[in-house]
Order: sequence, then structure tokens, then C-alpha cells
Amino acid sequence: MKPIPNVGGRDIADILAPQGEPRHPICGFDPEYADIVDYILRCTHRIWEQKDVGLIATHYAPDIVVHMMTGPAQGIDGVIAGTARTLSAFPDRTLTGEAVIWSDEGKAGYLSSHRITSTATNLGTSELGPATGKRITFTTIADCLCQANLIVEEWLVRDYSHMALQLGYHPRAVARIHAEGDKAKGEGRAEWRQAAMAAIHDWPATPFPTEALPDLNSNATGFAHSVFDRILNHRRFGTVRDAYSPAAHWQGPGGRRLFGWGEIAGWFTALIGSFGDARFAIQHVAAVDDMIAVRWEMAGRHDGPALYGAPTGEACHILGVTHWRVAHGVIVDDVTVFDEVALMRQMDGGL
Amino acid sequence: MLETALWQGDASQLAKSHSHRAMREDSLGVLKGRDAITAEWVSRDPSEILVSSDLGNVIGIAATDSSWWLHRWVWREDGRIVREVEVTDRVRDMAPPMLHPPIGELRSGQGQYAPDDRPLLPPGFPEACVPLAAQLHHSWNARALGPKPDPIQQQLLRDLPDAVILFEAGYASEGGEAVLFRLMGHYKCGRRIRLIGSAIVTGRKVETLIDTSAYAAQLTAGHIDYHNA
Repeated sequence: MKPIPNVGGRDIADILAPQGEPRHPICGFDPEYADIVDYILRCTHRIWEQKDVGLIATHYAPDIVVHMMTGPAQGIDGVIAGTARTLSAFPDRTLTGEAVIWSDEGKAGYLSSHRITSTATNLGTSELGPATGKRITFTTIADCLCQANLIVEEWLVRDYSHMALQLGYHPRAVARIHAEGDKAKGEGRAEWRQAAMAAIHDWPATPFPTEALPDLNSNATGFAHSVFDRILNHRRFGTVRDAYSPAAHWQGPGGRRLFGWGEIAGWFTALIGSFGDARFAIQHVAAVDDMIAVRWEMAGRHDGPALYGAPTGEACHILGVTHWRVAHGVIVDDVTVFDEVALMRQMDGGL
Repeated sequence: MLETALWQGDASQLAKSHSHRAMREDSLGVLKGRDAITAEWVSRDPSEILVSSDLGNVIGIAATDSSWWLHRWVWREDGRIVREVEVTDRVRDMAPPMLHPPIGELRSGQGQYAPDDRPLLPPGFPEACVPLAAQLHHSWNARALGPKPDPIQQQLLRDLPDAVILFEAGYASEGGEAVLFRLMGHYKCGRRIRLIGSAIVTGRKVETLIDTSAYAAQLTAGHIDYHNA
């Protein structure tokens, strides 16, 4: 199999130039796609930037399920309508692929974790509020399970609180409006969210970890599971000093940017300081080159004020995706994305 | 040279010098994408500059009237710049950014221990840059200011009594060595100040630059408050 180039080291003109013969056997994919990375980057460009939204019909399964923190959405019509709504609000949205971290899932296809930096001008009403005319930048990660040219399941996380802040909206105010809407429709406390949280709490607890972390170069999956379990489930925040470079950068929800062990350990401490009984479960890990993608969930009761204000006592659910870049055996860049607007919507009695 | 062309108003150079996904960081925030970097260059008035040091991926420049200094660090992929850090005391658009409340501590896990004799350096830090990092660590983190302290350093350490510098990167070439670091500390109101600093050694000359122009902007920046809508 030929090497599959990723985003690194290639300008956009190189990425979108015809790639020639397939680099690996991607059965059932359209012939213009040379590999899974090319498929993800090129179809994103065609659908979003070239505005060929109808291509979703040939790139998504009819019964696609898209998992978001606002709940699962089923069916291709919703994907097409949602894309059109987003483009109406942000018509000049550009989607810069920062990484495509993929894994071969055998007969299930390929799993791609695609991190996107979007820049867009808010020229129409969005789910966050009326048009502001402001130009904003935000991060999205789309985990897509791809089979024979079709995305059959997707987990989508976007930094909505960062979008709201840049547009001049208060994320908590937006969350409250959404929560009031949920309550008015009688749609609060959705069953899907209760089930997701119950599954996380049922996840078997691991023994107190005392061994060294697995080597991330030879066992990226084991490393990812150990880092999440040790830091978040066992509250051993000092593990940050074993897993991360002292000069690590961290980008998180709300556009937060942290640097170094102290601030990164502080983030994990604050998360548990907000959800004291939180349990975390990893859904999927993919590793390519120097990049690792981890999709994870949290279930916890909002019982502390660290990040989101006075405790509401609400049981909350997070769907998050974390991308790491690693070097010299440690994490040097961490980009973590989840939807804080949806999280605060739960705190205010919605979803 | 790219730097000179950009300061003379030729932003078209960026189409070839920078990747489409390039990012630029300074002490006020991050710009993502070549288009955003291009727009920011266009917003600057052209200036006459002098190059004070050129190490390849680290360059030091100054306005010809010495009214400001600037160090630029770049990281490349396949020849194109994908990341740059600009450290400057140049007065620019200082609209104070909205900041999240501070998270975490500055000296991770150190508790009551005194600063270590040696600086904490990231894996892969170039050996040639260790002496410069050690010198900065001794001066800033151990507070060995000497009988004639640098007035900017002295003022920053008085304003931010718990300040530390954290080392981010080193770069060495035939032209000299350079160290990139972050200064963090708390002002008396509890505001966390985060300034990027850079030091370049060429021959016997050490040029240290901290983005003091962003200091006032960070002091007056609003805090993002998720608690109250």
C-alpha cells in the first residue's frame, strides 16, 4: 500500500489537485478519491465550499445517524437541511482540514476523525441568534464511519460557545433560550441522554493505576485509555506531567488556550470541580503518524462551581473528541472539542 | 527577503511563504489561516526595518528609529510556514481580548520547593540552547536579578510577584541560538498575565524581548463569565 499523505506539508492546491490512482483499496468509493483522507477532504470541499450540497445524497447513507450533544439526528434529509441552514447563516464558510486521523475498521469501513478550522461571516440567522455580520473562527471535529463512499454514522462536535462569544452572544443566555424551548415542547430529559449516561456509569471501574503509562508510540490506544482513566476517572491530575510535554499547548471549548502542565492539569481539575461524580468512557481511538484521536463521553452531576457557575444539581452528558499531536513520547498539542452551549442547556433543564 | 517585503507592503508573498492553514500567535491571541494573516498584514502601515539577527527560523528586527523590536519564530512544513510566533513591543491594535478566568497553577506540582537549579525544558530541546535557557531561568525563575537589574524585568517581577517563565522552544543555527518562553504571573487583582518572550544570542550579544505592549491590554481585558448570563 502506498503511503497516504495527510494534511501536513501540503498546501490546499496540492491537497485538492487530482490524486491519481487509489493509494489503498477503498472498495466502492468513487474513482476520484485516492484514499480515505482524500475522500474526507475533497468531499468536504465539494459539499461546503463548492456548495454542491446535493452531493450529500451520494456521500451519506439514507439512514445516517449523526450523534451530537443536542441528541442524535437520523436520516439524510436532516443532514442536507442542516447543511443548507448553516450555509445560509455563514455563506462564505471555509473549512480548513487540520488533521484527518483515521483507522481501518475492517468490514465496517474506515473511521475518520476530521478536525476543521472554519472561518465564516455571520450573514444570516443561526441557531445562536440573529445575524451579526461578524467574522468568526471556530473548531469542529467530525468523526465519520465511512463505507463504500457513504458516511453511515457520524459523531459531530463543534465549539459553539466560542462561536457565541465571537458573535457577541453570551453562551449561557443562548443555552437558557434553548432550554426554555425544550421545556416548552416537553422535550427535556431526553431518553437518549439518560441511556447514554447510564451506559457510562455502568462502565466497569479499573483498579487504581500505579504502573507507568503505556508507550504511546507502540500502543497509542493503551496510552489514550490510560491517560483518560488515570487523570479523569482516578483523579490523578499529576499524570499530566507524565503524559504531556511541559511546553504542551491545549485548545479547548470556548476557545480556551492553555500552556504547560499547570494550566492543563488545572483544566482537568476544574472539570471534576464542576462534576464531582463524573465518569468518563472512551468510545474510539485512532492513531496515524504523530496524531491520536480520542472520542469520549462523560456523565456527571453538576455539583461544583468551577467552570459553569452555581451548581444546578443536573445530571449532565458530554460527547467530546480530543486530538493529540505527539513528539518525543509525550503529547505536545491537545485540541479538545465539545459543545458547552448544549452542556449548559442541560444544566438549565433542557435536552 | 520575506520579512522586508512584508514590511514594505507586499503581502502577496504570503501566498507562497505560508501554508493555507498557517497560524500566527502573539500575546494577544491567535490568527488562524493564511487569509487572516494576509488581512492583518494589509492592516499594518508599511515600515522601514532593520534586521538585527537572522538565525533562519528565528529572526530579530527593529524599526529603523528603534521605536519597536520584534522577534519572529517560524515552523515550516515542506518549506511553507505553518506556525509563527511574533514577539514584539510594537504598539498595534490593542483591543483587549475577552479572556477566560485563569485555570490551574503556574509551578505545576512544585508546592513549596524552591526553583530547581536547572530549567525545565521540553523533550527535544536543542543542547546548544541550554546555556541560554539556564541563564534566563536563573535570572527570572530564581530571581537572580543582579546589582543592575533590567528595569522591565524588575517592574514585571514587582507587578507579578509569583511570575515564572516556562520554556517552549529552542532554535540553534550557525547564526546563533534562541529561546522562546512564556511569562506568566498574577497581578494583584488576580488577573493572570501571559506574555510571550524570546531571547536571541548572536556572538556575545543577547537580545531579550517580552511583549510588554500586550501587558496593559491584558490587564484591562474583560473576563468571560459563564456564571451569569
